Amino acid sequence: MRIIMISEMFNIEFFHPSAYYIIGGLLIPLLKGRIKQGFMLLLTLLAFFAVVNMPLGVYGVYEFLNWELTFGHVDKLSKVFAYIFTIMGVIGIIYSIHVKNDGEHLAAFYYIGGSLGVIFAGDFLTLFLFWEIMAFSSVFLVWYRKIPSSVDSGFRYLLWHVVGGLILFSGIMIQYSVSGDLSIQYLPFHGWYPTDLQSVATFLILIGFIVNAAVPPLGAWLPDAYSAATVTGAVFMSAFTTKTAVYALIRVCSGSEILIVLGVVMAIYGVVYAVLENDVRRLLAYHIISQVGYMVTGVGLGTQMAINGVVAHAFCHILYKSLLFMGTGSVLYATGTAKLSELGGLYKTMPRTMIYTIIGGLAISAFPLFSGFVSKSMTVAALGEEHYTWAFMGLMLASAGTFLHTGLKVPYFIWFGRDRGIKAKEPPWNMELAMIIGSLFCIGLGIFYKPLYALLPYTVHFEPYTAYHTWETLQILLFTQLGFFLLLKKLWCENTISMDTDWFPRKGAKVFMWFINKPLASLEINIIGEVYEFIVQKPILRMARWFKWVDTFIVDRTFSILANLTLLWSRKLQAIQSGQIQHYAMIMVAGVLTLILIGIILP
Amino acid sequence: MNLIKIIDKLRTKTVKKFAYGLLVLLILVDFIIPRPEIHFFGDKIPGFWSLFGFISCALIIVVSKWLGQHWLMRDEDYYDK
Amino acid sequence: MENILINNLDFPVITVTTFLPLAGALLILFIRNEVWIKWLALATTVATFIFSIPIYTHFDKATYKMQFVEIHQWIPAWNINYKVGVDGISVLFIILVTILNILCVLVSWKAIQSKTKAFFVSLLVMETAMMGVFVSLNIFLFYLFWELTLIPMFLLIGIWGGSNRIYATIKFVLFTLAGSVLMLVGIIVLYYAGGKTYDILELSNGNYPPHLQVGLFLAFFAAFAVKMPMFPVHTWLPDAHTEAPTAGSVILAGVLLKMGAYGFLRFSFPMFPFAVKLFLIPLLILSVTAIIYGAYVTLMQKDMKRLIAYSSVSHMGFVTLGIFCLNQNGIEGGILQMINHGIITGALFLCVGMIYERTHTRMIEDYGGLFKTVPIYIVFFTIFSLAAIGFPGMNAFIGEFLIISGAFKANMVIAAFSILGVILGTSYMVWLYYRIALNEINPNTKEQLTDLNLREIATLLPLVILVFLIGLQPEVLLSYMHVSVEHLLEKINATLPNENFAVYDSMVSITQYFKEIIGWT
Repeated sequence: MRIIMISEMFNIEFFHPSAYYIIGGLLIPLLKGRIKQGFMLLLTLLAFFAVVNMPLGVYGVYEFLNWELTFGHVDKLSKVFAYIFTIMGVIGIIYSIHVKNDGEHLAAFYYIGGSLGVIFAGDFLTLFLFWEIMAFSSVFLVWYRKIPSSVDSGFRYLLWHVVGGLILFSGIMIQYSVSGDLSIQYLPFHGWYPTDLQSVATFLILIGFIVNAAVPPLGAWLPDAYSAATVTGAVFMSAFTTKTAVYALIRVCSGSEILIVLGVVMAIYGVVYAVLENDVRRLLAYHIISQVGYMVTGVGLGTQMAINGVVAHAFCHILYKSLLFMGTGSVLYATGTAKLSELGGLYKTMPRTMIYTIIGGLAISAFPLFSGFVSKSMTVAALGEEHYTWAFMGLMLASAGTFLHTGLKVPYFIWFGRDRGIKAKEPPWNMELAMIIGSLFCIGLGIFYKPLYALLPYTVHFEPYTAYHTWETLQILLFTQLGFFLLLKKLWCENTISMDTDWFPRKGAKVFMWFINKPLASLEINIIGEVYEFIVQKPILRMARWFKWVDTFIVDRTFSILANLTLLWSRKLQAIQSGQIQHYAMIMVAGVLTLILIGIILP
Repeated sequence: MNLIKIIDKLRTKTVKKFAYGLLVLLILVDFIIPRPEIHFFGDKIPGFWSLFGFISCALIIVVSKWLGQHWLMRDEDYYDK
Repeated sequence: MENILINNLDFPVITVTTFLPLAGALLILFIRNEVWIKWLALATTVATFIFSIPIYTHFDKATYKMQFVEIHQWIPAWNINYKVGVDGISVLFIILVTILNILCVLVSWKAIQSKTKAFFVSLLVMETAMMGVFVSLNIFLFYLFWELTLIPMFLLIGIWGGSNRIYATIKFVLFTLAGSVLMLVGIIVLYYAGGKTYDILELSNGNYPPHLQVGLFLAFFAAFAVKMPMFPVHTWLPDAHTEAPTAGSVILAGVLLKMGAYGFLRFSFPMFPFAVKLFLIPLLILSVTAIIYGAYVTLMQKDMKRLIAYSSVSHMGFVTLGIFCLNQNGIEGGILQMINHGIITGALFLCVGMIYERTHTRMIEDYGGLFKTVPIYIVFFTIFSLAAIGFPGMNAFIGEFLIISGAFKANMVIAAFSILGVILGTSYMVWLYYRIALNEINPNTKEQLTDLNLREIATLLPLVILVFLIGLQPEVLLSYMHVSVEHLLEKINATLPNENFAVYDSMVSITQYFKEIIGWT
């Protein structure tokens, strides 16, 4: 039994799922209560089914000025991303359905709509349009938290994304002026720095994508913003911005070797910072950086198995990362804090949330039987096949680190650790339902992985459940666990933050504002502005004073004989100089008219 | 909650001993397990990944903490000053 | 006379559109009732708008020749005729003038309490003068209208303006007058050089000796640069904009600034191409300086109106950048951006004016949290802020895209700097938005802020529609320009080959040129 689609009813082949989110989203504020909630859920489900029924091909091509805009470029790669985005949309909406503020829902809808738009864009202008929509709508998910630090965070987030977007834009511009073509093409960047104009274009486009993928040093916005977002907003944000960037990198820049290095560095960087973190959502955010590092490495490698691995990894990552954010978000919701130094002993009051979070942690660590095992390992194996030994070891190291903090540290310090007797209870039913769905996916995909593999862009020659592979993974993970328990004392959390590369813009901003407020301001006000005074006002006034002297002492005396007559005349003239502006205006208009009349009559 | 009771029961010494036993089993099995493709030198050595896991974990903890204490960690309101 | 196309309609549509406001002003002079005055002003501006619509429906987009031309003899002894017409370059400005004037009347409904009759008379005379500038085909007539715009503006700022209005208005008049006087000298020289004619089309066909071109270019440049305003003669702008009443600011920013750029396109490009090419690189550098310097100074402003005024300097820098690229994309982008800037900055000034009416303060620090107190207003303000940033899907994005792509073809380095200008532009708008809309609610102004009433929504709504219309279907406007811009470029490139002067070449040729004049070999 197939669901009858709007597309079938109207005999249109392709109905952009974004339309459900962007146009349907506008109707949300008009509804109330249960109807509104049901409507939102319906929209997300409709979008999902739109993707299910979507045939491959190119649709939605419009002529705009002298360019061609393509809104619906559908192939296996975009379809698999669209699947997971729409699924995430459903889960996210279920999780956040209790939120009363319509603005938050609208922001989430536009955010999801924007990312779907990027996925299906066939040319750079459309991509850029949706890219910007994503940035401007997701910032509201941070701003709605409404505490001062979140408002500041959101502002920084927006600036980072705008700058990244503009770098992307300038890359697009140069690409257009070099090739005259705006369609999304395969533009790999080889080497370490740009050499000619075309490579400048690809380099800038790469940088633009990298900002959204949160590659260090340009990724400092991610921990900043994701820990400051609302409880439900962070769940959305963890899924979309970075994965959209990964999609873009796959589409445009796969095979750019520089990404391999950046990816491995990123993976380890994220792990190192995560170990230091106290705020659990910031920890998870750094961990996103680590996981995306795997993906970036895979994109850099560019082989079919690597790309398959990246896509599979992105698919599963969205599910388990959002599950982790949902779990810790529930803790934040229930206790009011996300700081590990203030949490502990919650297994007695929130046991089910603990189970879901642990499932997420096991999935992300690529435990056998969980979704991470069938996806992440593909990328790493691809590296191994190409014999990039150091990269391979680096990523395995990061895997150990992953399990360390997300699979072990987070659950331990929240649910076990020191019991601080915090009063908490399980989150509302909708949040729990969302977490159950997420957990089911995490376990389900781990066991029934063939459907996932069928969605991947290239045919899969990878078999995750070899005895060797399973055993190898178990070894790493369980011995990491040993290390964790032995070194537990070293990991106690203090209430600190770690400096990240956003030190530069944050401290730098202060210097920048000083520069504007002092030297530049004085240039404008004291120097350039003074020119007028110096050249015009002072000389004119001085001349005027001289003329007044002439008038008083020379002219007046000369006319003193005629003074009486002058006085008589001036009394007559005073009547016109009434000092009222209406009369001036009338005289002015009358004067102009007279001149025009004279002008017409005379010649 | 039944779940809580289950968890409480698990936090006993018996479980710990069982876990250690599992670790030993892992290394032993590694000697006999078939290895399909060798891309990496470590694939040949039995017990390699166990050691790798343990050392990675220790390394990460030690290095990160060192970096943190000497350089990266600041007070919470560092940026507001 | 081969480049004119006599009258598409059997109706002097341009004369009517130009002088209808003046007729309305005359009528108002005889009315005492304040309410009737306002309604009559509104009726006049709406009527002007309606009369201007046939110009667009009957416009022939396939020709570069002047259309809707009307010629009447005036002073034949000096070859001064009343000759008006439009082509692809000037036609869009007519509707900009008519629409903005309607909105000015609407926004001044309650704001102007004293001497309302004089206010609306001045406003309407202003409309006539502005329209005349854009449609004149006789240089003397052009100058007449150009100067005529000064007087009502002087009154608008000087009488109904803010606290420092006298200083601001005198500064405005003196700056503009200084430039215009130099232009007058240039006009007279041009008259003799061009064979004793004031006709713009005939003068455009002349081939003037290079020295003369340079001198005349500089003379005209004085007037246009002050009007634009270009750096560094921009200092009259912030004072004039800040002190003017809302309607005055809208007209000033929306229309008067465009007259300068229009002057470049109508006079300097066809008549003095050698000089344009000679000074190309310095002009481009000046434009980029205006963009970046204007944006930087905008960042530090504490007064909302002054902030938007300085942002105008930055935006007009983009326009000049586009124009001086000397390619199709750049010039079309420049003209389009002029229209866009008129819409967006006009809208922003309208927004500020509405808020000012309620709280009588323009200082940013007196505001905060408007998101919660006046949500309808914030919807409009958000749309216009995003438009000012150049958000894709809205009008400024198209303009900026065209200009930057034109700039990339002309000179890469300068284009790169202009992107910096876009980044700065985004920062100051987002920061302004953040401080006003999102911050904590400011107790100083909380009580006085009421949301928009129907009249104010009606004022802003057409601009919102235009923002999206132009953003999504720019071809609607751009289609008017294509042929005329092509023709203009042909003319410029006919005299000299179209090379991109490297900086070194341009500076070398400039210094060589001046050495020749002085006789220094």
